Amino acid sequence: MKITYNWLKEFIDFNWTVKELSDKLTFSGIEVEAVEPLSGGDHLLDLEITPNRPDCLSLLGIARDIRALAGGKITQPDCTVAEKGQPIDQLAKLSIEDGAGCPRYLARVITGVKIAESPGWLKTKIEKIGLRSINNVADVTNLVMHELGHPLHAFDYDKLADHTIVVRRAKPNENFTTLDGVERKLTAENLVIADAKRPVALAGIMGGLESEISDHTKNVLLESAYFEPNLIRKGSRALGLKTEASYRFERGADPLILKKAADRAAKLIAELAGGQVAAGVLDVAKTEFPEYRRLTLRPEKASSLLGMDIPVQRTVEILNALELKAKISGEIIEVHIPSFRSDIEREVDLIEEVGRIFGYDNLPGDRIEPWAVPAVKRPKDIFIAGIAKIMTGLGFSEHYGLTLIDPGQLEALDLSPAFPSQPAVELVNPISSDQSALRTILLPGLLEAAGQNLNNGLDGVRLFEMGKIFRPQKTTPDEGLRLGALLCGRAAGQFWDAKPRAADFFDIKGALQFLLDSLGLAEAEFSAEKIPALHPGRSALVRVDKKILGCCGELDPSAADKLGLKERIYYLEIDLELLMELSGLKQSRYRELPKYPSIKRDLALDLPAQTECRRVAELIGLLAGGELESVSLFDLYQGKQIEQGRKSMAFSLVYRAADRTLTDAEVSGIHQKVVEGLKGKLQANIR
Amino acid sequence: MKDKLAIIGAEAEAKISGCRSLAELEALRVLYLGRKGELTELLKSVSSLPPEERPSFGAATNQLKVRIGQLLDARKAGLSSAERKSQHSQETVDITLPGRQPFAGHRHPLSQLLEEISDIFHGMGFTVAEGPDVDTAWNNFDALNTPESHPSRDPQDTFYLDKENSLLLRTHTSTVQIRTMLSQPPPVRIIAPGRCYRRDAIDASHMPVFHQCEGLYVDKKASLADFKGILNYFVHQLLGEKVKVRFRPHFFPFTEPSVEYDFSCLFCGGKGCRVCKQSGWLEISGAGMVDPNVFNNVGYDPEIYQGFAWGLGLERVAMLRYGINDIRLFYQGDMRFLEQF
Repeated sequence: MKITYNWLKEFIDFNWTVKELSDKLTFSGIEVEAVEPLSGGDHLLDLEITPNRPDCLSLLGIARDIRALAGGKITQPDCTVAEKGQPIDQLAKLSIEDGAGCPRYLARVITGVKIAESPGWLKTKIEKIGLRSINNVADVTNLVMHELGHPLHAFDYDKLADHTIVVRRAKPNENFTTLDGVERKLTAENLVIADAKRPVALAGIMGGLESEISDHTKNVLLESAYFEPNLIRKGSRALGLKTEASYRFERGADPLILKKAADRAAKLIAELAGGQVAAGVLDVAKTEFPEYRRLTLRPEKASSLLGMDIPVQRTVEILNALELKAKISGEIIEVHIPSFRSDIEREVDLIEEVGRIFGYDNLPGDRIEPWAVPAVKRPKDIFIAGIAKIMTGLGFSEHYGLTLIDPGQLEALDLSPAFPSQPAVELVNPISSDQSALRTILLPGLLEAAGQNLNNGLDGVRLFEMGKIFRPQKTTPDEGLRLGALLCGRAAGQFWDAKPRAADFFDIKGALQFLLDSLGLAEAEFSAEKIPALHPGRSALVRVDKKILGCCGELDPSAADKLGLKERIYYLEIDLELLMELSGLKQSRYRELPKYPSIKRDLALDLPAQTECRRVAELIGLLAGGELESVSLFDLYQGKQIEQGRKSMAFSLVYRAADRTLTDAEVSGIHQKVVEGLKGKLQANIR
Repeated sequence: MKDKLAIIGAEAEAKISGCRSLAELEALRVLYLGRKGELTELLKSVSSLPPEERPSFGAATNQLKVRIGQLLDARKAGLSSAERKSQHSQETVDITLPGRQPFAGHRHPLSQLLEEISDIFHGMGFTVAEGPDVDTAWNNFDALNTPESHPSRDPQDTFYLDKENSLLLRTHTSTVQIRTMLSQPPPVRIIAPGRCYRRDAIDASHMPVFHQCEGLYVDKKASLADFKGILNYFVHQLLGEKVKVRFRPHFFPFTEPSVEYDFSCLFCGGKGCRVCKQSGWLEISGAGMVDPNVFNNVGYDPEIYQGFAWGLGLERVAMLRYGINDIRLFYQGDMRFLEQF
């Protein structure tokens, strides 16, 4: 809401500069968002009024807060009206059909007015706060709304059929043109002010074009009503029509200010537009409105909640200055809550009033209650931090992908059987189709980031993400935690004396093996498996203890093409919750260090090209028996030096016995057995 | 014969000390001590001496042998050290060439910040609590005293998963406060980090997905002053002792009294600059004393228990702390960005 400094001063005497006023208001709950100098030394203040304070949508309301802060006297606007005209009940009729929507309606009639431009002082006031001056009647209603906070509406009395006001719901499909010239189709959800025939205003929102005050208007019917806030809010939202009036009514107007507001406006209209105010008012109330509600405040509760002691005398003073009439009664304070403070319903609401005016700057700032039990990190957080350390150590940087993704891309990115990408949970009201589903896998986000990095000219990408994925269930989706990691382009960590190398499958597999090894899961099993999103010949399913932990491999090159990715992409995704569970089960056990020396033998084999490394190693182990300590591949060759369809693999075998020193002859015997076995079982030749 | 020994001795001494290389020295060793060396030859001629002189001559020859051996060794040590020194002086590398180091990745700045925040609150007895991103409208709104008509419930602002608007993407991690209070009796000291969602179009200061790290403290005496104390301690630990905190009264459905809290500007120290729009202060988030209606909703007796809750946007703090002016950077996975942290 906009007000001016000088106008506010007409309501309360205070000695603050504009700067002081802004600070005081801001630190007591009415935030001054902007101050703008105006001509004549005046200032425009833009106030943010929180939705619980409709009483502050007026100069009078703000003056009350200032009185609580600084003392001083409030000057009420003059509301004495001279009723010189004929009795109003001879001029107009009023009925309320929807008493829930309109609990009270009050009207005055002013006859014989002359519509003209407003006088200078009124125009200036209205225009200073950014409103357009319309005429001497409309401007008065706007003025009074800003003074007292209550929206009024002036009808051209002669345009009201039968001079009758009926407050009712609109009929289905009833048409109505609001004074902004827009024809609107109404529903039974809309509360309208009607005359004997048709709607003349959207109650609490906007008047009608036909009954608007015009230059020819001779007689005015002035509406001062109280509408049910929720009904106005719904109506305003359904029509997409927000006005100064609806803004106030939906926050809650003061049902007991109707007469005062009507009097003030009638008085000014009679003064500025001539005419006579009809005697009396039409006033129909469908509800009793008590003058005040009673609450009690325990100063001790206030002090406990706020953590500071506010003297009881000051508490009473603050409440009274806010017109929350307060009286000490033994240990408690009895408070009468007036009708304009519908936000104050409980003791705690009073505590806030006292606290904010007393000032939160007075709160001590050095209190921390000690806590008997020290807080510790959750195992999960420790685990996650540990995984992050391993992944960053492996050269991956952490990415935060969006949880909202395009479901259209999921079919091509299926990680079944590890992680089916479909179906996904879809939003009812997405902003756009490319953010309309909850991710089921982390792959899409990492691919997008990879693409961006390559577009930025980076020659290699290494990213990982740890985040939630969502699987549809009957009701609430199941949320899982995954680790995804992607690499592509130039292999990381290469030294300047080495030839640059492009990353390949074994970089991603190696990263995963290192991670698993670090968690005591070195025995994880990698098996070749068809995974739709991955390369048919370069993808692996990863199992630990027979459970599928995840997968790794090269992104299917045709999927990469579709995404416009120029590099071959290598990816892994694993179930972090399962990983945590499995790694928690692994307890390291000490094995005695060897007492006897080992003997190392190398074995170079010429094998059919499709022979899996794991199969050779397993067979060697089987053939060599208990004296074989380890077997490891140290060379692989396929090319010109070797017959087509075959490959050469060289293994290093370490033999050792736990209870004696092996002799050369013994080892040669075992080794020979291995060689013969491989020849027979794998069509292997010894090179 | 003994004269001859003396001559050989003097000669050997001179030659050894004058020797300039290990090869030359090796030649001298062969010359004097080799199987055909001068001393060996001399010992062979012992038979030509009278028997009574033989023992003393043999002893003297052996003594000389030992002595020449010692001289040779000493000279060798001297020579090889000098020679190796000269050789080593040739073996220089350009020590400004980059070292062979594994390529290091970087943790996301929001992860780093969250770990720091968690550590600070752990120290004050707060534990981390989590909840699902998809939650019920009851946990996200109703339990938090948000009226049916509140604009935040509007499908314009909140993502829903069903037509009835009963399942949604949480708009704050206050859902975790509700879940925690429903699952345990007071006292409660938690921080609740996690992703939140609002129906905002993406721009430099808005993302539909963002992170909060809210906090909640419920006990018999927890007061607004305690919150100020905790917030002061937190901000001093995280951003430095000089940063000040202030409260502005505000309104939220879930707290009463409610405040917004500000930090003094991290960039100008409160003097006023472009970032703080010359005010010297930065708006951070909202907080307040938990509304009695919220306590009623979770079955805590507001006559016995009281407490406070506060919001904290991780991106907001990270942007202020690191001087980042575009929230989108957190979600683009741009390695040039990530590698700065």
